[in-house]
Amino acid sequence: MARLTRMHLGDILVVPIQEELHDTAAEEAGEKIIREADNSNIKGVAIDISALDIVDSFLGRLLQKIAWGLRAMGKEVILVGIQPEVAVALVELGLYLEDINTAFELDSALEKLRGMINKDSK
Amino acid sequence: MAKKNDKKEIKKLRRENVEYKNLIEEMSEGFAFLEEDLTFSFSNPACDSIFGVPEGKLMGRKLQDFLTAKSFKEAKKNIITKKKKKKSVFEIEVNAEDGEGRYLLTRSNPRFDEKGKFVGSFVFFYNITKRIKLEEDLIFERSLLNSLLNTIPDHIYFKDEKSRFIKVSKSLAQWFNVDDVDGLMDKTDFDFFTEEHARPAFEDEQEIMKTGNPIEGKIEKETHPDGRTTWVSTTKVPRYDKEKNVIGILGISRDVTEKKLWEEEREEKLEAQREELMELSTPVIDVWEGVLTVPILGSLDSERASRISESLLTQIVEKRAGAAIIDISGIGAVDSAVADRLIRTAKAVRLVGSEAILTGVGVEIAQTIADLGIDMGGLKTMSTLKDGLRYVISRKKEQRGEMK
Repeated sequence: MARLTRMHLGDILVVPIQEELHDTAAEEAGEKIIREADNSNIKGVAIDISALDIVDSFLGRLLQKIAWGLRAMGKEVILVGIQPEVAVALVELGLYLEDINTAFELDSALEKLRGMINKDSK
Repeated sequence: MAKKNDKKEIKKLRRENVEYKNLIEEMSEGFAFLEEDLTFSFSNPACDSIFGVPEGKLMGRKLQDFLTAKSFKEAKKNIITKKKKKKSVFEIEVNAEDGEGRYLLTRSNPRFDEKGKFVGSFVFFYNITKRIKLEEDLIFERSLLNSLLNTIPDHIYFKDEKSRFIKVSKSLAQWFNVDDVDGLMDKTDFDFFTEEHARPAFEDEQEIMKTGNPIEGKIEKETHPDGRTTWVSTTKVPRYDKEKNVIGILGISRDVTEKKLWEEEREEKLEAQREELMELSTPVIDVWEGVLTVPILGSLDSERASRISESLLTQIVEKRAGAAIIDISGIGAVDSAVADRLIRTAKAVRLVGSEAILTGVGVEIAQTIADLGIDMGGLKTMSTLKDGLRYVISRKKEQRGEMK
């Protein structure tokens, strides 16, 4: 089973996905993220996929599912570091992920996420 | 008794004489008696007709009247000077008086009187014109074939049913760096090419012999054992014997290596130019801190659209540009495919973490988009590039303000 790194930065959970995940491994990773976020202290989740050069329709849909799941749990979500080729592939697959925020890198992602969380708490 | 016998003998002789005379008259070969100076003192009808004169009119004429200079020499040598008791056989060419030239196989038989003095010759003439003409035709045709095989730069080759060379042009021997065409006899392509070319060529030939279908102008890559690569345009056809059985193939290959290389070079150049043009036609401009602009000019096909998308996305990520303005004021026309492409590009821009703004949507294009029923779905659009810039800058300020 693929190892999944998870980091807690205050009330933000950071999940860098470092390798291509397939089928069951991907689903398990998704479940792990949701379980990990199911904690009242976590307000936002940043999923960093900058290490991925390719995303197939399965993983694309899974990312969408995770984001929706997290949002249903009241967490803010941001996708970080989508590579140009990956962006093109996702669009070609019709996975626009329009309701999910994006950022180039973790720094700006955390900033954006923080802004979103603050807005929520206001 | 004796007298009666004599009479009988005379009668017999006379009858025999008539028989011989008839025989000579009816012979299909020409027969004549030529005197020492080659004057005809007797000739049969066949002989008269060979020399093209009316029957009986050859008598008193001389053989040399009918002969070419060369043949006269030959005749003199064989008929007059050879006064030994020896038959001689030789060929002469005559210009008959009916206007025909004839070749005659001539057999001369010298005659001598009781004292052994040479008196003339019995001469038989056989008309061999047909045979000689056939030989001449053959020699002529062979010389045509040889001039073809010796001079044409194209490689010409005849092969047997096992694809072995049986006759080749000089050019092919030279192509293989073989001194003499005989050096190719009974050899095959496998002796001169590597397997890479020899195998498919052999299979082609076997297929031609099996089906009877020729190959025309096939471009073949020839691979030589010394590592050389050449290109030829090849035509191969089946060869048949008299009974229409396939007995091999005949092929012609033309060296097109130079042309092929030139074509490849041209193709490369064209590709490079196309690439250059693409780069030029899709400039991504860094107009402001964190703001990129792509002015799209001319028409937009799907290849160009995906290139624009590719180069824009790469630069956005590289420069961490927060916004990208796609200006289409210079675009020719917008149809549903182009609009779709633009929307996809904008969505990909958002996915990598930036924002796309479409500007230059004039009245006409706006109407087209509306008419086509395309939903620009969440895509920020502005009428001019200026508006787009203003929007991006003011938003940047806003964000900065928010942060404070």
